[in-house]
Amino acid sequence: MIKKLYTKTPELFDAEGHLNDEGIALYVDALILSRLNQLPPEVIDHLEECMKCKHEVTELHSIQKEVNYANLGPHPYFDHLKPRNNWNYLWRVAAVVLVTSGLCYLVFSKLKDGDYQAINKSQVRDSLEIQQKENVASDHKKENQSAEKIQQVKEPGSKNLLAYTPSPVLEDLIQTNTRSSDIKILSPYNNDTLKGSIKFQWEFKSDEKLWLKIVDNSEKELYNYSVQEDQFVLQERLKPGLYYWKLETQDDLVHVGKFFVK
Amino acid sequence: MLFNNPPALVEKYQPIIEIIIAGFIKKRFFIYEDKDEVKQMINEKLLTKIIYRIQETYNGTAYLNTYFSKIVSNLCLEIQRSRQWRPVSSAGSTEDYDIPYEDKKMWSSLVIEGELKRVSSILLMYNKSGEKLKLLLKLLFNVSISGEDVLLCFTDCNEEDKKRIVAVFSGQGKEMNDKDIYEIITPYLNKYGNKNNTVDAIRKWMDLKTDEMIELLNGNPKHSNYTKETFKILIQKYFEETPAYVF
Repeated sequence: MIKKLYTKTPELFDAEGHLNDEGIALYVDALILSRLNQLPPEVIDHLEECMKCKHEVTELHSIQKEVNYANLGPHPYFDHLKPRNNWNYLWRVAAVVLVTSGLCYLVFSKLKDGDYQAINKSQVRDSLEIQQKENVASDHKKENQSAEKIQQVKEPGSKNLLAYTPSPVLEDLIQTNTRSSDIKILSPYNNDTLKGSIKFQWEFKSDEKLWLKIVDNSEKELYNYSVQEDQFVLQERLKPGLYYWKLETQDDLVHVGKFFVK
Repeated sequence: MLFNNPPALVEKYQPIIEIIIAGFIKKRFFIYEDKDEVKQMINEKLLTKIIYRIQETYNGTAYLNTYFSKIVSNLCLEIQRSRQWRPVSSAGSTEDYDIPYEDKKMWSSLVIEGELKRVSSILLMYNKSGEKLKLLLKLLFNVSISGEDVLLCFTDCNEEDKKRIVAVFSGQGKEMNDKDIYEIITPYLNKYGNKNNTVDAIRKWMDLKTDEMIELLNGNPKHSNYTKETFKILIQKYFEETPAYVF
């Protein structure tokens, strides 16, 4: 029960911490639709270690691969049809906070009535001095840690938050594809996290020549390829961070997408 | 339809029920003649109580189609356990009338294709360790590796190490025994994984993962009989058929 309370997606786990039937079904959907990287991390982590759930997924997958998924329409989870704000989880957390607050209040009021009066002023003064010294030491430590973090951010090439900061200009372009009716993107989906070689794939209704550009989150163009087919595999290794990709004709920007590299 | 007209949903999903029962027949948990009886039992359970339980428990996170399949699979297992049906021996299976294909060669290639898909789904479930697992499987089962394989496993691998690994495990390196393979690859696994594992620890890990994969292929309840030897053949076939990159 405690484990269920603290998972972000409790509706996918049973009381023993295994994936329930819907969790298993969601994982199988992800396998068939090649959208494993859009699953909640706790689901992926659990499958990594749990043979029971692996068995259930394997058996269901062997059945479901016979089903035609093309006619099932948008997926309720992967295509964000179902709100992911996990209200159940938030209500549970709020309940825990309320109960804890109530208990603290009860304990404090009991102390105030009885034993608290027995503590004399010098003891209070002493404990305050000790607390002040500890605060000063803690502040020094925090300053050092902040300095380290700033240093990390400034060091080029290191894993840092700047590499993941979205570009406002490119983010806007993602929302407004200029020729969205002509193109259907097959991979990668926006916000996918990728590693190794990256395959870009699309269906483009026009015969116009296309260029594929890879851009980092500071809008710096890294690669520019003229593409002959409806797919391209980027062999170059990208450093961890956020990237954007564009498909352009001679005159038009056809598509802008984004992905993460880990 | 799940809430407005549950019997109509059960009617709509009859093809799914038939696919699932056919799957259980292929795995030898039922025989072909029991198909109609099992279908009737499943429909009865669905219409009297299970569909109403689905109304309460389905969260709308997965496709209803997939969730329904899981529930029906559970029902098939329940029926199989309650009737104490046992898997029928697979000897002489190509003569059985429950195999709809007359062409045995086509049937065999479809079975192998199905098994390769199962290998693919099993490997995908090893999300964090999948690339390491694939590289070690290739090395241990004498499948050629490329620079791409090395980079998928060791994403930060430098060019020199990549070339060295490929060079060592090609040509005469293909004749190495398992001990030599582990002794050569373990330092790289430690270097690029920031770990300090011994050769024996890696070997033990790999033995465990191999046993897990064999267990998954054999199923639960068990319906196949893979051994380490047949597993090796299947994996070699899998890597032959799979493209150099997997997404």
